[in-house]
Amino acid sequence: MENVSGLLVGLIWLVAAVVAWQVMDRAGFSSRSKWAGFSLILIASIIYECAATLMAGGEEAEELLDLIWDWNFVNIAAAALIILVVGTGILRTKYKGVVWGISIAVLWAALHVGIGRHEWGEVFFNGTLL
Amino acid sequence: MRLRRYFQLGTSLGINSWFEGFTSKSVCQLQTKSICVPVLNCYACPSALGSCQIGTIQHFMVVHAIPYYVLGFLGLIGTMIGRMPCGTMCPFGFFQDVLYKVRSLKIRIPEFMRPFRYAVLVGLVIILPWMTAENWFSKLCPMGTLIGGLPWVTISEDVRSMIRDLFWIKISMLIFFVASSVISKRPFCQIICPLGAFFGLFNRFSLIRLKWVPEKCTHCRKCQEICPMDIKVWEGENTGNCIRCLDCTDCEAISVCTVFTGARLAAERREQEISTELL
Ligand code: SF4
Ligand code: SF4
Ligand code: SF4
Repeated sequence: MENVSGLLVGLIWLVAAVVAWQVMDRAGFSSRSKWAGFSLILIASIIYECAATLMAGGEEAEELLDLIWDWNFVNIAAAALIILVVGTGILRTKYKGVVWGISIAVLWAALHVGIGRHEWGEVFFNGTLL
Repeated sequence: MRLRRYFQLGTSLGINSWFEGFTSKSVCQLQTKSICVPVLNCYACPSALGSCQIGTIQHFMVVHAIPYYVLGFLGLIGTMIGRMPCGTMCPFGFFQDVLYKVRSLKIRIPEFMRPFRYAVLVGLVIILPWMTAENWFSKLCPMGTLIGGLPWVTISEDVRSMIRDLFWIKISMLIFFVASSVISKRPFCQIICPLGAFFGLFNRFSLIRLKWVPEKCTHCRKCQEICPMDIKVWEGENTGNCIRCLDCTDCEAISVCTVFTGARLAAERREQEISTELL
């Protein structure tokens, strides 16, 4: 039951983001504004879910804090920020070479952390095949 | 035949060359399986040598962990060449390209449907697996059905006996994408694929980029005709839709550049425009 309500909440956020895009598209908004609206709704959904987990407290909240209150998370957060503002075209910068250099650095650091943690790509056969 | 077709064919066969899997009826367990291939290729294919990155990201979401290795690995590829693996290596992209060659009625996919792939990436690969502990994208992935599900039900009686409703839903989705790929250009890549969506986010600042020179463009629209993603290059050459197949570079208005030379040329053009205005 928890899974079904989680699925529904997630789908509502996604539909809201897609609808916002389409409404802005039809209203003639620029690509940059459409991206901003679309991304903001998806980011709001992630912040909402994290806040709800943290407020509920307990083991899940501790688990979440452990994940994001970590220096290693800085790499991924920086990469996500670059992707969001430059990759989507929300911010058009002429310093693309600098953005490229910073991305290489943070993503290399993320890869290094992953290799250090032996996070190899194996996903176990889990029945989704059928 | 274009050079990229050899790459597409070579990669499709190369990453699925553990043919022993068909006779031993087992999934490959070699060290290569610890590497995520940068294209959509099911890890459960009997002959697959590598893992699927989208499956791996979902797996990390389900166990509430951050996939540093996969994000770093894919991100570095994206930062270097943007969405080029889609245009030059991906077996499912190649499959759709081949299907589109079949003579039939052809229709254009409306542009407004394109952002849906980002919703798939965030929704089915990140948020929903995190919230519901289920791999939602893998459950529905047509590539999984094509090279994972179908070969397994063909070679293994045990797997056949496990067929449930979900299998038929997956088969229907595969049929839908096969049929739609005959009449339109890469429908799965344009609207659904979360990996293409991820790589596309790097196109605007990747090392390898495209450069379109307006002064040389006659607006003949041949680039759109030839483009496997149906892109109007003159409206934006480095958007997330471009799979960097480089087919359009046949036109002299479009060429390959780097993030450094592209910026310099754009600055030169701006300067030229300003000086012309002053004149
Ligand atoms: S967008 Fe298409 S070509 Fe790219 S990974 Fe997905 S299926 Fe393959
Ligand atoms: S970029 Fe080239 S192919 Fe495309 S419209 Fe202009 S001249 Fe034609
Ligand atoms: S815009 Fe050019 S390089 Fe990009 S997908 Fe279309 S034909 Fe290929």
